[in-house]
Amino acid sequence: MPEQHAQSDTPQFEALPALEPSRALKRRVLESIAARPAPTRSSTRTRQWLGMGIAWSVGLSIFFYLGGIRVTERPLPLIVGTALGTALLAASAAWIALTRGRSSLGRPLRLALPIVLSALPLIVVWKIAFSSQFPRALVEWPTRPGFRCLGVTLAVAAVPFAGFMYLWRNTEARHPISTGLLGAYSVGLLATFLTDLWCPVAYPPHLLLGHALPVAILTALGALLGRRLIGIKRL
Amino acid sequence: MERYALGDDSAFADLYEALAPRLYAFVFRKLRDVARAEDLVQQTLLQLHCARGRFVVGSWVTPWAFAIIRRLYLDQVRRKQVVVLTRGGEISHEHPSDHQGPEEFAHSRELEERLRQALTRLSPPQQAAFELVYFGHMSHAEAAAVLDVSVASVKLRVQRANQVIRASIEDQYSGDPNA
Repeated sequence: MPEQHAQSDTPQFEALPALEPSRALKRRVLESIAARPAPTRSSTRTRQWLGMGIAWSVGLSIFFYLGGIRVTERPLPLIVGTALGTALLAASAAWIALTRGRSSLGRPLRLALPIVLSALPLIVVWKIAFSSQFPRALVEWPTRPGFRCLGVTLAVAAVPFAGFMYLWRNTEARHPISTGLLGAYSVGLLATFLTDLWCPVAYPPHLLLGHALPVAILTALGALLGRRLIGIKRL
Repeated sequence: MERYALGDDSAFADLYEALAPRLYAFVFRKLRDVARAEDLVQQTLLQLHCARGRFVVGSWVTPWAFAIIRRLYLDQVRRKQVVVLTRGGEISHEHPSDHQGPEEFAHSRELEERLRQALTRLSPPQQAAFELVYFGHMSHAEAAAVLDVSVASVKLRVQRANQVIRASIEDQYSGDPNA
């Protein structure tokens, strides 16, 4: 028994009998494993990078088909500044959400969840704060309430979202719902970064409807599908 | 596990020897059924095999395996495929150890029965921590990784579980004239 059991208030459970699986189990396990080849670390890594790369290529193609980076009347420093801040926050959140850290079980949820979820409010605050440095950057655009940005963000994120669900399917032992939620959220953040390059509007209600709401929609969808698709199941 | 994740298939036998007895002991004490316990162990090892590509070099494999078997067990319970035995339940298979005499076996069975009754008085978080530490023979740090809580939280849960179980077993013995 581990050392910490030697406490004065610990009942004497050491008297419980030792248990051993049957010898037939080992044979059955070895047979079932031989019948099902599994990818090694390097091939899994290649498959994941390739899969997400293809998914984002499709997302980028849709983005450029819809217009790509649009400068309009925005000053270049405004575009570069907001894009750099958004990219940094979105990429950091995606890294924390989609990588496992030093454990095969993934990062502790009590750390990952608040850090990743804080990215979207920070992106909105950054966009508003940085845009406020430029004259008329925060003015209302009555013709642009945000529905087009909502559509663009969802269109760009659709294939990467599907790619994430496919590549992460049947992998999560502890928190399938939260993993689905965090993965979808980070896909949404990266799509929002692209939408920021496309959209000249920084009016706060527009940002909430067109840039933040699609991330929330994807997050809800990720949580909904997470349990069904990402949680491990019997093989 | 590192050797196995990198493609050395022969390393699985070592992995089996290291994990299977602990996984089996853990899940058998919850299910009290040899066939179902072995099925869950087989499923867990098959999951580990299929997921070997996602193993992080240098990380623990034991908490990973226990997290998988716990998830599979909980899924079965949710689908009502498993009858979790509580007070008055029947033990489907006897499982004496080779090293025990009849008296020791009877004593350990009685202790297990009392323990199982006492476990029903624990909260689910306390029960989960207690079972991992005592049935799965895990360290507090490993159990914390499985449950995704802090080590301090596991220590606290196990300590409180011990207090509840001790009180419960003492109550049972004090009410038993043969004790």
